[in-house]
Amino acid sequence: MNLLFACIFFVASLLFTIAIILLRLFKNRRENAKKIYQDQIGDFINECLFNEEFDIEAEAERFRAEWLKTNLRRKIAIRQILIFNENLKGESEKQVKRLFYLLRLDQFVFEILKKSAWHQQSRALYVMSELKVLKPALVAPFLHSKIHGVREQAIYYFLKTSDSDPLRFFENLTVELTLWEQLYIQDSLQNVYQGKIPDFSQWLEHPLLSVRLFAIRMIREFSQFENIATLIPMLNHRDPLVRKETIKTLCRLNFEKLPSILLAQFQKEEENVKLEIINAIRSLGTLAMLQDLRSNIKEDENRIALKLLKAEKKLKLLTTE
Amino acid sequence: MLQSNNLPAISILAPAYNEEANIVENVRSLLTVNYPYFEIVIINDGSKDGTLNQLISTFQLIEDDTPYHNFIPSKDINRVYRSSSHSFRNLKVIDKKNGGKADALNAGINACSHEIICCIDVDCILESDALLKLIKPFLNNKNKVIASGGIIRIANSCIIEDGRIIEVKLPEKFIAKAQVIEYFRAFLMGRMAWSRIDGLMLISGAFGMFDKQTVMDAGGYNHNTVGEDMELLVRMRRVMAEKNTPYTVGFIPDPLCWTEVPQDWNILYRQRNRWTRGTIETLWLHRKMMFNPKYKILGLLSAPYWMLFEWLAPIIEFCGILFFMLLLLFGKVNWFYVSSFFLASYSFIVLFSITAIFFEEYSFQQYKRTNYIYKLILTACLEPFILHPYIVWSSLKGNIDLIRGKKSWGEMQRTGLRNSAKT
Repeated sequence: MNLLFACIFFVASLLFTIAIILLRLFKNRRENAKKIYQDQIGDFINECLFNEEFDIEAEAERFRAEWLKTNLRRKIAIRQILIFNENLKGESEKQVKRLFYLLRLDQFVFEILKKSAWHQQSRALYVMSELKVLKPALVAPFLHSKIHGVREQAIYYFLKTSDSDPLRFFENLTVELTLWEQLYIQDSLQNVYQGKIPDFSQWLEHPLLSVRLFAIRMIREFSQFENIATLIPMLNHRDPLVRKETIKTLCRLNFEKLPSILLAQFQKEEENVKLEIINAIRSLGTLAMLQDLRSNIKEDENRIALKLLKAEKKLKLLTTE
Repeated sequence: MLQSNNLPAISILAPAYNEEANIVENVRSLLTVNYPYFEIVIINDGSKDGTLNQLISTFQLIEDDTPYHNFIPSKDINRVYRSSSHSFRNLKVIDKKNGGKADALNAGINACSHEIICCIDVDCILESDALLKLIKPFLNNKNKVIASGGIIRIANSCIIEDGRIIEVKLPEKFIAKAQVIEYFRAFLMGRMAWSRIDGLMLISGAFGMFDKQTVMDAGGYNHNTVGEDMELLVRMRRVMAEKNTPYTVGFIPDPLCWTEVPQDWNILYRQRNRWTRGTIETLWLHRKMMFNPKYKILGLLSAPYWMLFEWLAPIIEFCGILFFMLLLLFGKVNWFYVSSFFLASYSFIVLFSITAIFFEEYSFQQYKRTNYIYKLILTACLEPFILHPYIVWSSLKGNIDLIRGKKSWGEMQRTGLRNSAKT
């Protein structure tokens, strides 16, 4: 029996060793091939963009038939097109996008979306976003993907390709947004999306809590002062997370009456909301208001007591300065 | 996302004890971490050398009188410092009485400002996006995430410049090469698999991220064990399970942190001796979890696995060798059985190591030179004869030392990555 196991393990070890060596040789070869392919497709794109006598349509057809034969070549072609697309503007950028369609790489990307593994789908969605391939119906199902990476890229697609209503996909959302996705959307709104920023109050009644919280946060980040009145009732919302975010937002929007409202609310609040109240009063209230809170702190609320102490110190420092 | 202004702030806690020679360079390296909002808290754990003076003079430290509260017990803090220079505004130094690594980290937790803490060894080299990758599970999970860790890599012999790895090299010494394979086995196979079934019992003390509130609720690091990193995570998980709160522990399958491993047999002995004592202490402290269905995977699978394969396996192996010697003494050895058993166990351990190398080659392929692969395969074949018996012996001695009541860490000398490897 031992000998049998020894033989099995030995053969398996040998097979794995061979696999490791073959894998290394394969990767080395592929790396070398990649460099050559990159140069070849680079030269072709350069010709298309900068040689005025070049018949793009005919040459693209020829190039596609003769050169774009393997998936590796297609992937490298897409990568090179993305690099050119990122670095060029105006007519050249349009020409690069045109080339993408002429080489029928859009069909290749759609195939990946339909059949491939999640990490390839994620990359395909990224390509569609960057090259603004308008196929929202094809991408929409990926908003419900269980794989975060895919869902993230689907969200990015809608933000990147939208001209006026970047968060329309919220209507189709049925799964809560994670904090990471919320940050991702916020960053994309701030850095990628170029249209008009929407009024976030329209999502304050959204069925998903994460979308409501996101909307409150965005009112703060994009300084939508016009929504102060809509937010005030949310200070009494049943969910402490909503109350906490509302306090933060109203504080940032410099809502003057906030300290007096919060003073009355402090005692009945949860610990995390209390911490936020202290922050808000430190920012908008007075030292006397902070000192008023002291009598409402229970003996075992060490975190709150420490926060209050720090806030008082900071405020004293500010007033003496 | 690294440019995002909206990521949560992180407190990086790094205890330092007698690190005068490298502390300034180490802190400078930490200050270059690529993440939008973080503070670095260096805890000088009663160093007897000039660690604190070096920090004060280089980073222009002044006393910081921001109040703090000892939520978790730790030895007295002498002073807290912050930098008067704007360039180092996110640096905080705590000077405290000596109490060991666990105590130093507890002091850091009490005095740090942010809700997510990252505990690291001060001389570790972090990948530039390590913090971003490690915080992702905290933000991208439906359940509460209490901790997250990643793959630790071995930096011996690598070329390092300005606190960054610029070329990955295979260590020259056999002892370090064998540990490379050990780390492959532990991280690419073991921890990856345990994280898949949410059964992780250990986030390496060299680099791990934690939810501060959960750490405080669990009582912080335990001073009375030498395996404080494992004990903390097990206790946090136990507290969460007892509160019936859904939670998870994140694991990032990417190399995030590079550390130096012992290249000296005596230091390796001390390290493994300590790991064994830490494991036994943790398992003993949390024996209630063993085979207890209330703790699910942790009680039914992880804890029994650690008991059998991490604690008892060296003892069983040693007993087997003793029994074989007795049989040899009395001339009762069945040589056919012995040879076939030896071949089976040897080929199994080689298979295990080769599989780990295969995973590395398939996924990260960090060792780019082709001849490194042949060296690693050769090391995998030799390791069972050279390193493994030594590890078994160190573990056995760990058991004996624990029974004798030994509590010390043992001196862990490092050659210093930044100085030795810079070329």
